[in-house]
Amino acid sequence: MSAEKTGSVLVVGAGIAGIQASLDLAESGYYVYLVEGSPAIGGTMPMLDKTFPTNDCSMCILSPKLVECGRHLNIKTYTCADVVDVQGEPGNFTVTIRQRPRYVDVDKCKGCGECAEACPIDVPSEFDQGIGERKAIYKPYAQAFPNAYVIDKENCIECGACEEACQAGAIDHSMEEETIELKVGAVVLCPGFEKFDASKLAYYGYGRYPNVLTSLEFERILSASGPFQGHLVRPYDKKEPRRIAWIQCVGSRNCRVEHGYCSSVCCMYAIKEAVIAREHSKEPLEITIFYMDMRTYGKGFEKYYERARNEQGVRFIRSRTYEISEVEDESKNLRIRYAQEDGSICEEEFDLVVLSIGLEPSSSIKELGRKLGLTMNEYGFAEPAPLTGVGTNKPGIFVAGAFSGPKDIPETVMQASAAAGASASLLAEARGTLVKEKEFPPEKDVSGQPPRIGVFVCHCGVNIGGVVKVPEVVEMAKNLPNVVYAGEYLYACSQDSQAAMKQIIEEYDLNRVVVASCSPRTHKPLFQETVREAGLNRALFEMANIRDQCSWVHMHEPEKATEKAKDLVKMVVAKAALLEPIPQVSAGVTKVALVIGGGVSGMTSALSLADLGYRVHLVEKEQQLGGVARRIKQGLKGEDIPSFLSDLIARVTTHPNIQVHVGTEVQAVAGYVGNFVTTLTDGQEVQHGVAIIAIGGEEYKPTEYLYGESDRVFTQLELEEALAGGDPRIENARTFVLIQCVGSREPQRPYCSRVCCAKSVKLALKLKEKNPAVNVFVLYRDIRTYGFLEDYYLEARRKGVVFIRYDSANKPLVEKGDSALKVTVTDHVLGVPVVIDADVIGLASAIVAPESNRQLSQLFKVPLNEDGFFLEAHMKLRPVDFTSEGIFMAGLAHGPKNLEENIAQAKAAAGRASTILGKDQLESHGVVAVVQQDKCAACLTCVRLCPYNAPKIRNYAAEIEPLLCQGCGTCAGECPNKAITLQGYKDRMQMAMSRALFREV
Amino acid sequence: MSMIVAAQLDPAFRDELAEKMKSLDFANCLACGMCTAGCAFSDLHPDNDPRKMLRKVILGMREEILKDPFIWYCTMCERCTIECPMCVNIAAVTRTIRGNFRTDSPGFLQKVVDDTIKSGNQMDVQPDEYLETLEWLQEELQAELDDPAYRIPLDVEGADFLFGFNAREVKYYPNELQNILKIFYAAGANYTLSTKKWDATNLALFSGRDDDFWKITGPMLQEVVRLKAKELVVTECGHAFRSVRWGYRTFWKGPQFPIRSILEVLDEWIQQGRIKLDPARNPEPVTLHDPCNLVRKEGVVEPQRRVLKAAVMDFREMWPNSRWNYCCGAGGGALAMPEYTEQRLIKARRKVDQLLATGAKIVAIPCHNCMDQFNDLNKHYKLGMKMEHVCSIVERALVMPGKKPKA
Amino acid sequence: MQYVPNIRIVEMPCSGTIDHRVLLQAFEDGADGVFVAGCMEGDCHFQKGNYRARKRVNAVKKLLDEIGLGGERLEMYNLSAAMGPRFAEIANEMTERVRRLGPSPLKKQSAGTMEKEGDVA
Repeated sequence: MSAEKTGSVLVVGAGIAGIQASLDLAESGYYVYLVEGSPAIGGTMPMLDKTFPTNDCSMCILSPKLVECGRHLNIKTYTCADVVDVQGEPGNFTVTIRQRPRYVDVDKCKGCGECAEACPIDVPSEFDQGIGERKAIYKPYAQAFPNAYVIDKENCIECGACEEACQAGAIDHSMEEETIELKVGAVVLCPGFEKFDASKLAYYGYGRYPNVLTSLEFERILSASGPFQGHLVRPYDKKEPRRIAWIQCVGSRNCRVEHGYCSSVCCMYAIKEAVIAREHSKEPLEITIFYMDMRTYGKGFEKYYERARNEQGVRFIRSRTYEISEVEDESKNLRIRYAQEDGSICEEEFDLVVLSIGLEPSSSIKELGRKLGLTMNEYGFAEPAPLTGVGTNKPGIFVAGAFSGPKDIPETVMQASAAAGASASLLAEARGTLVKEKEFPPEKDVSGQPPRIGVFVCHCGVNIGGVVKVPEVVEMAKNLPNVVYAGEYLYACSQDSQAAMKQIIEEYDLNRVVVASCSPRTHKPLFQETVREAGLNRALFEMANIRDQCSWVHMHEPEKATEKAKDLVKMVVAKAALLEPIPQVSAGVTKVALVIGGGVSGMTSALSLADLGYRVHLVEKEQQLGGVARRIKQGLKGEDIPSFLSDLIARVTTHPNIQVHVGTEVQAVAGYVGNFVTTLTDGQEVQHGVAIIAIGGEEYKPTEYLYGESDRVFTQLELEEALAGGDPRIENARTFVLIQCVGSREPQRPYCSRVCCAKSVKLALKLKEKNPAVNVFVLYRDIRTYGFLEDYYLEARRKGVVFIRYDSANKPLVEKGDSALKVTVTDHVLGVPVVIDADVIGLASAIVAPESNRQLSQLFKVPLNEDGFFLEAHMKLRPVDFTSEGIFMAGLAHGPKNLEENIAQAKAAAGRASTILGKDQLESHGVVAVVQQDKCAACLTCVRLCPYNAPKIRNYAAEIEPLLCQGCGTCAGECPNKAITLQGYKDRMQMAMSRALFREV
Repeated sequence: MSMIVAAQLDPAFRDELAEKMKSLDFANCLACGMCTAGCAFSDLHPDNDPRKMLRKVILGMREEILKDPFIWYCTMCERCTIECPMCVNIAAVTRTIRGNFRTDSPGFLQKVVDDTIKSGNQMDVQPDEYLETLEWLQEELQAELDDPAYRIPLDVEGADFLFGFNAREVKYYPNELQNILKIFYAAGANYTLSTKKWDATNLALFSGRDDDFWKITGPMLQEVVRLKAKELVVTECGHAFRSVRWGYRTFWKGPQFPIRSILEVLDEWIQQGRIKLDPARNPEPVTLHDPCNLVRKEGVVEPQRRVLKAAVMDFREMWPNSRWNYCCGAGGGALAMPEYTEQRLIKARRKVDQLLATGAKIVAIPCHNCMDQFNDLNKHYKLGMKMEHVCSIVERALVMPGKKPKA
Repeated sequence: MQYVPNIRIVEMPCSGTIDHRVLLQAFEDGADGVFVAGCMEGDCHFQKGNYRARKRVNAVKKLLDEIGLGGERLEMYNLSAAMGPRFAEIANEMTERVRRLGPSPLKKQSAGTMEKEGDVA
């Protein structure tokens, strides 16, 4: 009999997956140990310039998560650390970690960079993919957490220069390796991927030709934080390229180098890089992408591709290039010889060639996987347990991110939330047992008191002090109105300075605190915590950024920089005098979930939450559970779907925490996060804290290819059912034609339905399995068997399934023949028509959003995208959240996905929902907008503008729900009668700042 | 071909081919076009696109394949699919179709194969003629080496290597064989020639019939065993070298022994100082052709380069080279198909452009088959270059060891 | 990365927060120029705040034209947090522009504190 379960989780790998899983778990009541091999968390995302399909700046969207993860009270991060062993059983594992020496004390290091300035050794920067340089003591990237340097002992010459330069005394060359043992209840593995070594394909000349780069190198070139500050130049001669080619599938879809799988992300990232490169280039840029099948299968991807092709002038050439040769002059330009689709040969010159390198599992994690006894696939990726999304063959060990197969950021984040949810369900009984909560002294009441401001000016080592004359700033500050204390600190953020600050607040009876130092982005929460510990409300703190915005950017003008620093302090002090405490608004949480949709996704979400101990109402409009999965007979890996489904339904219907409502729909929704009241069409009223929308999708009813006119034309789902049911039309057929993209990738439905290529390949294999003598033709536009699905595509070709590619401008023609259906399509290689007498035609018809999406969108006030699917809060980092808090989505309602992916998303939605249900009280997000009701004319401007549905009209005046308000202040800016103000950013504060700046004190 | 009627396709063709090839890898094809671009000749004359040929195979177009000119045009040089990410081997497909499905063997390809089976060598050299030639060479060498005791070792058991060569070295170019034997002498090599089976060539490598192939190459390997030689060394003939190596890997069940090209042996001797070369005797710029069978298919890349760098003053690479070198245009038995001479000389343009770009005066060609093509294109394209085997260049640079004083 | 030292920065949660009055007040107090730096269009952290900001900035520019101060003294720029060099470029660009226009006629003091442009980020 096992002991009680442990309420902590080990997360291995601190890329976006590890960060997301850690945050979800910590927010849901579990203590997290986050172990990362490199010196900083962040993984690959910080290296990327922009992200598809939104072109968001990668660092910008990641940075808040880095800060949140780094600061979280219930996440303990180990960097430079490896997991050596995991022993035990689900609920109780003992983990051994090897902590490699960093040679820099993370607690003492302030990240000021003086040590690196002093270090004489230049090393190619891993972060910049070797294009730029770093020192032997370095911080991987500017926003890294921990914000601390690390010594690379392989390159360090132990000259001692860094030790001398470090004023914080953080450097310790004598650190040694340590072994740490941890007790955890579950393990989430998300170690990410490594990039394919392009020099393995010698014919592309990577490593020999200076103007052949990898896609990740190109990201660094594009990046504003990269070696060329975002100027698009060739590393070889710093000249701006005019013609760039991308070559796809470098290290993917390549059996010769045992990388037979598709890396899933390269088509999209190549298009993104191409589009961004054009934006970066001052001169016109010719862009060419050489590809085989354009795999833009994700949400919003197809439109991104179409836009690149039709509007942004990216040229797409369907050809796998044979070789790259170098032009024989000093330009070292590159020549590519390639075959066009008709077989004619072209040769073109390019200034730069970018190799779209694939993803592969890292060798160290393969080793760990073997040690843990995980099932790995032939390529060394983890093989998730079927239809679990995140499970492995080892109970209690979950996987997320590219470790379980190449995937993009949204899917990685989704899987991470799912793995967090699955771990949480496993450890439900231990929830909340190991998490800590910070205790603070009661807040002092400062109302009515005249402002007593303390100003703390930071030297930041020599970062500020080396340029700005800090003592002068302090002297000036002492003379400002309301200032009762001003002092200077070597590092304001160090432990001892923090202690001093608390003491001075006490001693001088300060009721406002100003720190003049670095960026509020990284340090404001830290200082706010300190003032809170001293009994002041967090809002009574303000920062002046005299480093990033002053000393760093005016390094050569110390006089003017000092002037500016004084001004900045003056302004912030003026604002500080007006600061008011902001009370945290909180509300209780109804620990009940409403899940709408009784298909696989909805049931999976419901079960996950029910296993966590929350009550769940599951609403299904039909009379029985199961949804569209009732029509699916086999999963993509051959799983028995009917038995999976009946098992799932049994678990849902017998679960004590789940109440199933069939034959009903949602009629009305009221309330907000934590406290919703939903009325069902059967009149029942449900109180719930969160809602998950998982109402599924529908199969498009084709109007093309004689569907409905001939009983031998089936949709994919119909064909699957007929095949399983022994339909004589199928049994007796000799020739099958499967037509792809029926209703998808069309002007009226410009998205890819994602699942149909793999589905048709599987159907073709099934037909061949039943009778190898049948002829199966698959007519396609691009085969999109991403990831390991590519293996099935290969298998189908080997089994004799014939694939013929058609263009949207030249679609197959289906006519009624004498006994069979006559299909005419042009062979893409031979260029002549192929006439096929088909006995059966299968149409891969699109997945469409159900009509009820629109209705639910109105009831919950959540948005749909142009295609009628629900629109997530953020395509990349919040793939299952709505912008409105407390409402989540899963499954086909979000967009086309296969069963396995839907299950992962359903678990992710549950995982995200549990971060709310896990709390007893919900607190507002710091600053919120408030309405002065007597000034409000109820003009509805705020109601119309707010993206979060926070303002409501009550008694002829607006009211802003603080739990929904995100604090952007758009309503305050726009309010015609100035009835709305944003806490901490009131107009009079800004005006006081400008007055302080221009009027001498 | 204006239309393909699916009902007339023959999917069994694909299966039959796979069975003959003992591999289904050709079915992996993604039709990506890498081979079309990789083929140096696909854009030089019609019906030379490997992707189109393979497509016909995959669709089951048996009738089309049975008359597809590609099958005889293809030089089987393997350049197109050496990097094929789907592990297709077009040359292997071509060879299997030639030998197992086509009945229209062109020119005298099959005749040479039949002659080789009958006489043991491709030039139908009779044993007495062979021995007379060697005897004459021996006399020549005795004079040249000023060593009346010099003997060509014949059927010597237990030698370090058996030297297998090309019948044309006996029939048409005895002076080249003389050069080789002179180098062997200078190195003090412990080798032997065979009186029974000495021609290592095998045109069944191109006709595609495995039974014929083994009737020819089997005895060559047997001869190594009979003479108890430690290894088999093959002359500068790409397809001979490929034949014995491929035959050894594919069909040989006998005792194990190494098979090396003479170029590897020369390289080793130079490294070891067993032969001394004076590059000043080859002052003119020299470039090197990489025969497909020797280089791309059998991976002998660096030895011939090191040998030439030791033997000449000015060595120049042509581009592309080694693994990605262009075929001379006469691979796959093309020289035995006079009806396709026009295509063969059109293909040669690639090589001509490469040669001219180097500015070399001498072309080192470590292959007898390629040599014939180079001599043809030298005339046809009026290049005025000197086409030579590597051994001839080495022989010119060879510094003969000083005579030992008589005992 | 370096830029001219005569920029003073006021931090806002979102460019969409900025009120007309705040912009006008800066001029009234004596700023020679003001620029608003918002997120890239379509990239607003709060969905659409930067579009609202642009509208307001345009309205205030018109007003500045009408009162003879010149709308050119106010500008809206879109850039992301990762575009440091672009910010420097804008700072220099704006400074050049304001130098060309000369000191603000509303300036209450002459010399001394000249060449300070308030900007709102």
